[in-house]
Amino acid sequence: MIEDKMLIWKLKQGNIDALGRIYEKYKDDLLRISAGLLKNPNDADDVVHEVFTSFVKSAKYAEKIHNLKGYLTTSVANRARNFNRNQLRHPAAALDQIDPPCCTSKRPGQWLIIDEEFKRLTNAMAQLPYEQREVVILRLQADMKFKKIAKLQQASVQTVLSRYRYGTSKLRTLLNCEVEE
Amino acid sequence: MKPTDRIEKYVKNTKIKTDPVVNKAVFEDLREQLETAEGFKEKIPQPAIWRTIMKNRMTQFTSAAAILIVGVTIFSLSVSPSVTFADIIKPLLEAETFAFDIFIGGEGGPSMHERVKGNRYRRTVSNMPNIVLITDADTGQLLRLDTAGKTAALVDISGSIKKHARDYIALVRDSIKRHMPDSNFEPEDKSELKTNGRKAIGYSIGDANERVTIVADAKTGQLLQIEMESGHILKNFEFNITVSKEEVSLDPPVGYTIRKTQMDFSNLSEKDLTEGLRVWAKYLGEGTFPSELSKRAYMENIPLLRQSMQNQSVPQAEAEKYGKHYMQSMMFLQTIHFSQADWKYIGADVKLGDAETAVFWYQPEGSHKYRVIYGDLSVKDVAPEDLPN
Repeated sequence: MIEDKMLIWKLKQGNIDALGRIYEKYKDDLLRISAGLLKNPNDADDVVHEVFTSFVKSAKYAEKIHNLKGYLTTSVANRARNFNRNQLRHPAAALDQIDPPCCTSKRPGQWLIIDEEFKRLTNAMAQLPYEQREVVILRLQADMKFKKIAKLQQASVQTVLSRYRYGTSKLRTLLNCEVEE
Repeated sequence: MKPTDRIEKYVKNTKIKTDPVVNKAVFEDLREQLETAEGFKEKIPQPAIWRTIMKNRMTQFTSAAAILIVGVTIFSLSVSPSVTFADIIKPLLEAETFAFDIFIGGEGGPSMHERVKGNRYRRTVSNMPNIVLITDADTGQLLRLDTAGKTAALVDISGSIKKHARDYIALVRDSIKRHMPDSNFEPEDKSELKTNGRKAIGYSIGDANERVTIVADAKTGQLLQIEMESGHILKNFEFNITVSKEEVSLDPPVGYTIRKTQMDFSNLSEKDLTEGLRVWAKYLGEGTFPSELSKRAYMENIPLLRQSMQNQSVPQAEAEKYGKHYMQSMMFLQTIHFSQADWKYIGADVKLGDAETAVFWYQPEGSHKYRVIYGDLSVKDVAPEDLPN
């Protein structure tokens, strides 16, 4: 998108308004994706905050980004996956043993407001294996092509398509009552 | 059991809400990060405009558009000094005849091809191969030709929509002229970019609802693309071409049967919108309202509406009536959009008949209150502070 290219160029010049436009344009989508991938809304907030922070810190090199939406979405997906892996590796760690994420202290409260409908969806999503959840969310909420998701997951397109089919099928079962109401 | 596409739609359209206080705090944090980032310390101006915008209630409704109100910054460019804005827009402003493609709502959507001669233009649409629309923007007359059925119908567009029924280049010309104080004007908001491997220069002019981004080859100044605030993209320009009188004539071609049409865009009203929404929910949404309401969505669904009515054996006269509601609904939405009124569509997946759930609201010109349309298509006046999200 031409507008994104212009925004990146302006951001590289240190333009605050360009940063504001990028932030307003993508924050909701990124939070929705993050919340779908992670079980805890605070973690989802952290991931998106960290992605924006990292993007801003490297704004000097932002011209290398060809597709801003894809770049930010992939950053959120990668961070969410790393976060989940770390959780699996250290499941028993007590809360006081974990360093608080760098961004939490900068926020006066919870960023994402979870309503009943979104809660239903994320609860159903949480029951899918992570790879299936990731494919469904990246495909449906980020409009990412299966080929790109395959690259991200380091899997074949066929595998990704299967994960998508299994994921949507299970979601259909889990959400059937709610969606039909 | 619902089909998979229903689940896909559900996942796709589930919305989130964010806390405005946290939104502001995160942005302030990012702003500070940018200010202290290496290489940025001296470059950054200190606009207080963000604080103003984030406090404004309107931001919650139309933040993306509202943000575009701001933004005049000065850059130095390393593009060829021989290319000026005036050179780039000269053919755009001066050509008597021209042709171009419009991608509705961005590339990937349906496209239209326009051939323009003075105040008349001939339009064809990618997903309606048999339809030709010839418009006279001066008189507010539109000739609709069905090349397959060899029928022609004349539609009155002389009402409030008339001033918006001009070709897209005319709208761009207006915007440029409004923001161009003299012929040597060089917009301050410009950027270097690459498009399809070409080094290009992009200019942004105008403010909310009428922002136009003009992209040209940085070396030759050739106009490459115009992006409008609505998301429409204009490309493949040809200037000073031959457009014959016949191509833009409002007289039906020989051999065409003239049909009367009920379509009338001269006096559009809220009723047009509600009736169009009814048709959409009934024939396109299996009883629910669409996931989005935009010109692009309307255009994309025209062939599907026709097909759906055929599949349900809707009698011809009724199909025409519903088609009329659908098109007039699209035009009314455009008049709201062009009048820069505050509006929002919130009807994704709401069921037709649901009297409790709002599907659309807008603020009529000159009114303090908003008009809210509900799922049963009833309409109520609502104070700004009571608007549904």
